[in-house]
Amino acid sequence: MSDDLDDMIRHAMKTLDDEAPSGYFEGLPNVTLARLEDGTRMDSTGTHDTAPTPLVAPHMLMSDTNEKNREEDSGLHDIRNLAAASKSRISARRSTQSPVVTEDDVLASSSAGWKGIALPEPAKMISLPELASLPSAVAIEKADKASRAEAKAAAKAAKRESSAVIATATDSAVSAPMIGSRVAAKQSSGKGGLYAGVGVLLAAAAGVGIYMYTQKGGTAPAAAVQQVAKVETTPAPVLKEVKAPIVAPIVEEPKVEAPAVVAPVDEKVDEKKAVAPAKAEKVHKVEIRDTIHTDEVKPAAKVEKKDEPKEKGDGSEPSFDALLKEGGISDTKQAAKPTLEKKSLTTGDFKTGMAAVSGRAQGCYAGTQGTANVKLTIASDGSVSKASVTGPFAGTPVAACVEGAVKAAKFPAWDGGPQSFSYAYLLAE
Amino acid sequence: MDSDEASELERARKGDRDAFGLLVRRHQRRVYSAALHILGNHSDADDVTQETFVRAYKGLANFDGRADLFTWLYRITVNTALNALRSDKRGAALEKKSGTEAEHIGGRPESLGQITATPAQVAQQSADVARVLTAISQLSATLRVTLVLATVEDLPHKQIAEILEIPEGTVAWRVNEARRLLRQKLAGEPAVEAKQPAASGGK
Repeated sequence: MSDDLDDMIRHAMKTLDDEAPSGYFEGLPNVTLARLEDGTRMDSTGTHDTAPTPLVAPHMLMSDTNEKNREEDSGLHDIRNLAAASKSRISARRSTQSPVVTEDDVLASSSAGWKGIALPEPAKMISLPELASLPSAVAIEKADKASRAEAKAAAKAAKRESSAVIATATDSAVSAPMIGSRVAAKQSSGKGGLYAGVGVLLAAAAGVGIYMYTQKGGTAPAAAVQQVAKVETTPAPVLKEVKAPIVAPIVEEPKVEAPAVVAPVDEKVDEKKAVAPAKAEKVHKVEIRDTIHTDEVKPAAKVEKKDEPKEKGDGSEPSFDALLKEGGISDTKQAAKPTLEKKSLTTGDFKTGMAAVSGRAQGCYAGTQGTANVKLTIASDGSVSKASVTGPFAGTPVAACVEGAVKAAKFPAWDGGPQSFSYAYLLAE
Repeated sequence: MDSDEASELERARKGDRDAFGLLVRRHQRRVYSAALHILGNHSDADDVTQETFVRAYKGLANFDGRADLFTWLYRITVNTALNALRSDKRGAALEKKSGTEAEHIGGRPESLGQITATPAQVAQQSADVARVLTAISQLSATLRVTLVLATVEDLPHKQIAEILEIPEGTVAWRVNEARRLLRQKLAGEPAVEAKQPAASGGK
């Protein structure tokens, strides 16, 4: 049987051999040498890159004994050349349509692809301020120290001023604007509010002490009242608080103001009542005045708070945080804060994941060996979102089996967009 | 290698194209036949034959002369033909293509898959030849080449193994597998190509 088959094969091939164009071999050396001369190249598929060497050439070089045959075939040669040229073009096109793509190329392109997707739009639009326009770290530190020192000096000066007002009422008219300027200077510092609060407390304590002293001595000059009244008009809340006890000895004014504001003040002055119940009426008067001051101070304090950001904004050197906020960086950072350390799937991760399902994929072998090329897309959570088999198995049950196996693969999650890979399984028993 | 061939080879190595032309003339029939047997049609066989000689000329410096010149040419021919088969997948598409191509070139019986030719042309060939050629065209490239080298070219397995750079055992397996498949196809049975031995590899 084997010999019969071999004979049949040889006979068939002999038939093919007999069909070689007559005169072909006479012209083949010349055609080959012409190709060497022309430098005409053929690609690895055996087809021409450029215009193919006309098949007519060997036949044109036929011997005269085949003249009749050549005349019969001459019309066919043009058609044959056309067919060969078409075939060559198709082959060349096919070879250029399927460039060799390495795994690294796939990874690089997929990585670039997901980077393009993953970058949030706001991040692309961030425009940081020019570095040259920003203050240096040393300058910021110096400015900070200077403002602290200034605030301390202002606090000390305020204390000194307050004591000066108490000691010499005649000088208060001059000192008031100075105090105002000091306070304004204090407000210019970042911690002015804090120092102001501390100053108020200290001044209140001092005022209570002075009040107690004046109640005992009763020697406060009447002119001081007018001076204090002038001081009250100034926007400096600390000094108003300080002056409050000084006005206490005045007897005329409480009669007008007392009914409106006594009730709420009583609760606040409970402790003072407990300390000096015998002087409750006077205390009331004092507290009335004090309350008035408080009412005046409260809006001033509010204004002061409102002014803080303005002063910061008007300052010569804006803070770096403010600049970052203007640029939207702080918000963007919070929004785009990565949740995973892994930024992309590495080749090692990919191969490990694919190797885990290789047994299942290779189990899809169904009698026909070959390579199943799988193109898959892996989502950032590590799951396979898409898998498709290309090549000879495409569209077959084997392909569906392999795709199912690949979709079961798991990979480590990463922070980014999906990535695409290609992988090949050799299907064999 | 006779003295004339050795002389031509030496001159061709030095750039004498006339000498190379003599070498082409000396081996062209066998090279063309091998290409035709593997590819099954004149057009592709002509391409591969020319390409074989062009490659040979460019690679003459690498030919050390230890092997026979024809064996070396044969290896180039087989590799070029295999590349052509694999790139074009002619093995799979031959039947569809050949009929159309035969019509374009005037209906000359040039292809293995000639069963779609006109009745007059089919009449020129025996029914057995047509069936055999069709069955061979349906074999995979590796099986087809190995079968042709063993059966038609009548090369020993050892030489085929050298040409294809595969173990001799693989050659024997491929020849047997090709014959088994051919018998099944000729008998009209569905033929499924078996798995190649793991140790085989090669071309």
